[in-house]
Amino acid sequence: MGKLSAFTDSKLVLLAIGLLGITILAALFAPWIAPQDPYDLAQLYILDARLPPLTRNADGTLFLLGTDDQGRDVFSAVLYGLRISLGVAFVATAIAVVLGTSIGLLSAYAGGRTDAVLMRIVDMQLSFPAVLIALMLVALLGTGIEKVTIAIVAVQWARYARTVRGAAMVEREREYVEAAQCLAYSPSRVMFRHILPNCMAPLSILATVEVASAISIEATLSFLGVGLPITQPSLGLLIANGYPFMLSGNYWLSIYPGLVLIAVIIAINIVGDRLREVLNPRSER
Amino acid sequence: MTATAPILEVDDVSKNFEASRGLLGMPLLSRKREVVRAVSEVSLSLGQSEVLALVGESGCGKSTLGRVIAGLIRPTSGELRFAGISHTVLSAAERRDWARNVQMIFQNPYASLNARQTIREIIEEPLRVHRIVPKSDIAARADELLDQVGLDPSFGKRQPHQLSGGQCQRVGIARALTVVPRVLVCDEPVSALDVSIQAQVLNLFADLREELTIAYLFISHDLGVVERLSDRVAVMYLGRIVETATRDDLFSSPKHPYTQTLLDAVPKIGRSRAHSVKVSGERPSPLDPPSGCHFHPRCPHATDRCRVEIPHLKAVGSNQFAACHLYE
Ligand SMILES: Nc1ncnc2c1ncn2[C@@H]1O[C@H](COP(=O)(O)OP(=O)(O)O)[C@@H](O)[C@H]1O
Ligand SMILES: [Mg+2]
Repeated sequence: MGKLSAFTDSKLVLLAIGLLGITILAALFAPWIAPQDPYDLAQLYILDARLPPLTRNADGTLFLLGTDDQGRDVFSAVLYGLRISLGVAFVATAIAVVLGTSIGLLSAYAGGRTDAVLMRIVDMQLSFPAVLIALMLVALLGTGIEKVTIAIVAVQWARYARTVRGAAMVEREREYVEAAQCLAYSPSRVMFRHILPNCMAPLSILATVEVASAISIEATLSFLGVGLPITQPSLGLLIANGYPFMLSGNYWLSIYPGLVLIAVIIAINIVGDRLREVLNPRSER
Repeated sequence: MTATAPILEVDDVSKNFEASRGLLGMPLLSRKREVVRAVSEVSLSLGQSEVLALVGESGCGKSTLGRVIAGLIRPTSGELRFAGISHTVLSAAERRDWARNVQMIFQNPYASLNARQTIREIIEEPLRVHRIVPKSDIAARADELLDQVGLDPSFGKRQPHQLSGGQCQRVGIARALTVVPRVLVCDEPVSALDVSIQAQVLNLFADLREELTIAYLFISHDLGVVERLSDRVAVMYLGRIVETATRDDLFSSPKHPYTQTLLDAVPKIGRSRAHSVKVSGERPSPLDPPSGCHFHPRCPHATDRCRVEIPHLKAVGSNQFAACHLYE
């Protein structure tokens, strides 16, 4: 329990955790929290178009963050956008963790040529900027929620593979692994039941930070118009859609989704940094 | 099989490691691959319920020999026999059989336990994997094993970091006993423990030997421990066995000059205390062992013959063998 208290003794980290908690809940319950369904055209009135934040329409409905050029409530759009952005990022991260971890463990355990080949692929992959690879992939695959997820997994698996392989190489030399081999446990049991649980610290630190990177890759792709389709507007797409109105003074269309995006990414990184400090193997035992 | 037939035989076993000492330790840039002769042409036999101590300076190949015997690494050449049956290349099924017969206790009690498992999980896993007892009896058997190594079953809920070094080593012993092995390779099992705890764990080894039909290959660099626990002693120097004898013969009339130097380095009165194996003179490297008898550069009796010809073990007493040209 010493770890938990070490984790929460910083106000900044508590704030970041609180913020993340709220955004995750908001994303999960968006349909119940949002004042309107921003993509049900029947709920939009052109007369409400381009209202600035905190104004009411003729019916007295309050628009917290204003409306867009079609009379859509920006607050509702941000909630729905958060749902899509976080959803894509979490699913992509989960797939990349499973894939990268398996490859990293295999590489460490097999060693020799398998290890050399896998790690050269990883090196190659990591020598290109992530967004560039993702862009090339969606250019090849086309847009859509699954395509973007695939692109993010393709960019991120290598980092997990390298991290897990590095940790597993260290663990493999420890005596508890020899003890497991001495009991003739199968290689998969040794890898998944013994080595992997001892690699969880670096893995969970990386996964936390990579969620933020997944969010920003998706936002970048969507902002560039090659990510999600217009029917599934994530935060990145909202920023892109609002962008042309910036110069005409309707700043709220892009600024609010942008602020939420930045806040989520910063909060995740604060938690990730703290996790790194608390789970540092050197501070263990 | 008669009661006197050995349970485990090591026949002419060698183990070489390839060490590439290239530029910056990078294999590709290395000029030549160097060979570490960690174990050379070792033959030993271990009787049922016998305690054979293996002593020698650090780096002489004791752990490597222990790991070969435990089936953790394959010997470069030579053969292992369990109850007369040879095991050279081990398939997965043979590995499992070997594991059920030969288990190992490790030097570092903390590191040899998986920090992410509870003590109960550590003990129950081999029972489950090797189907030692029916599923319904696993928990009861684990409690029994904990009790046998002197731990209260309530320890099952704990994790290794909540245990002392001595308690961890007891868990390691219980884990090895799950498969009911006939041979236990103990690689300096008490050297990482406090002196006061060492005695308790050694007592446990002595008690288990009374209760079970089990033989120990007890690796140690501590002659006090060896004198207390062993029936027979094998002395190792730079990968080779230089002398084997019963404990009493070895301590009262050591024959090999190396054994003599080892015992001289230890004051007779205080021998039961911890006394590490230590000999003056520079220890040669297994990367580049001296020609002939490996011990000749440090031997007071070395002759020209010792510099060129490797001596082999020969009988020098009723149950005593030494690898030395002096006894011919
Ligand atoms: N995996 C390995 N690779 C290369 N050299 C090794 C390896 N394991 C042991 N050695 C070398 O073999 C020799 C014997 O080591 P070891 O068996 O650990 O000795 P001891 O247990 O008697 O101290 C040492 O010189 C050591 O450096
Ligand atoms: Mg050793």
